[in-house]
Amino acid sequence: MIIEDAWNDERIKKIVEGLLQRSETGEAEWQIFSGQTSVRRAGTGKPDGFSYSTDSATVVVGSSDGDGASPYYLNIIDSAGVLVENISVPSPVRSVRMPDGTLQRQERSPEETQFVRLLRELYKRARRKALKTDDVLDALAQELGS
Amino acid sequence: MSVNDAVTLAAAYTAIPFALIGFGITIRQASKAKTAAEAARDAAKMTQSALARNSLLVLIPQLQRVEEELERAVQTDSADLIITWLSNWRWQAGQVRGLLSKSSSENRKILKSLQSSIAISAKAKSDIIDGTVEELAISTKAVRDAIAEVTNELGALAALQGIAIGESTNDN
Repeated sequence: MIIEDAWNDERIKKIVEGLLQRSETGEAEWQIFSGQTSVRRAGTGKPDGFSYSTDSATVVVGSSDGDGASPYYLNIIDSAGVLVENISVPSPVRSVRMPDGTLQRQERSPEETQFVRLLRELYKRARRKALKTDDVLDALAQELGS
Repeated sequence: MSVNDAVTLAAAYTAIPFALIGFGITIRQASKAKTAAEAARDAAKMTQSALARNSLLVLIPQLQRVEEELERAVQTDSADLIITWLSNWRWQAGQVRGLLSKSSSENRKILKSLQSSIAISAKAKSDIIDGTVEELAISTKAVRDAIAEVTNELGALAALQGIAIGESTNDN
């Protein structure tokens, strides 16, 4: 699904906003789905992914290049493990080929930009939870502070 | 009053208790039938529940075996065997999920873990088939962790179910 269709699909919006909310409250238990399991593999060009599962579906959010930056993606997997929806979320700025052959950078529409921002936020929260970043920082701060 | 009238009157009055008796018999029969139907329904539910429990007790060790075989396949660095056991996991985990009721909160946690393991195993298998993985041990870590979480939770469930079966057997 392209970003324009995703943003116009109320269900996708509800899913993303619901996940953001659950990530903030800690209700969403994110796990490493693929890719980044060590520093060595970070930014290797291969996608990373962090997943949240309900009883019957799994949502995966990740960075397509594995570097933590856009483009991001959002996948939805059904109860049989089948990928039923894939949403690619490009960067907020796109390059457009002009008639003279040059590339011009264009801002996306406000709706697309908003969706990109939501996905970026969701990715950051999912990654933080899955890698238990806050626990590590707390322990380290306590150790170094004593 | 003529004899005829007297007989008619007597018949009318004596019919009332018989009608009441007949009515009472009908009510009692209907009540017994309802109770019997409810009893039959309850028995069917208990049988279904016992069957599901027994099926779970058979499937859970099979899932544990899949976990062991997958670990062995990773240790021997066999992509073919890993693919086979990941497929096996998806199928068996799906069966277990069908047997778990969504009503209990403990089952909800296991259902989520099962779903997660099914999704991750599908991804891991796809990556291996596509040839996009370099090290099988690293690329299967996430799915092995997810599977371990499921087998741990199911092991605890099996212990409880086994105790419950033992208790119901003793009651009988």
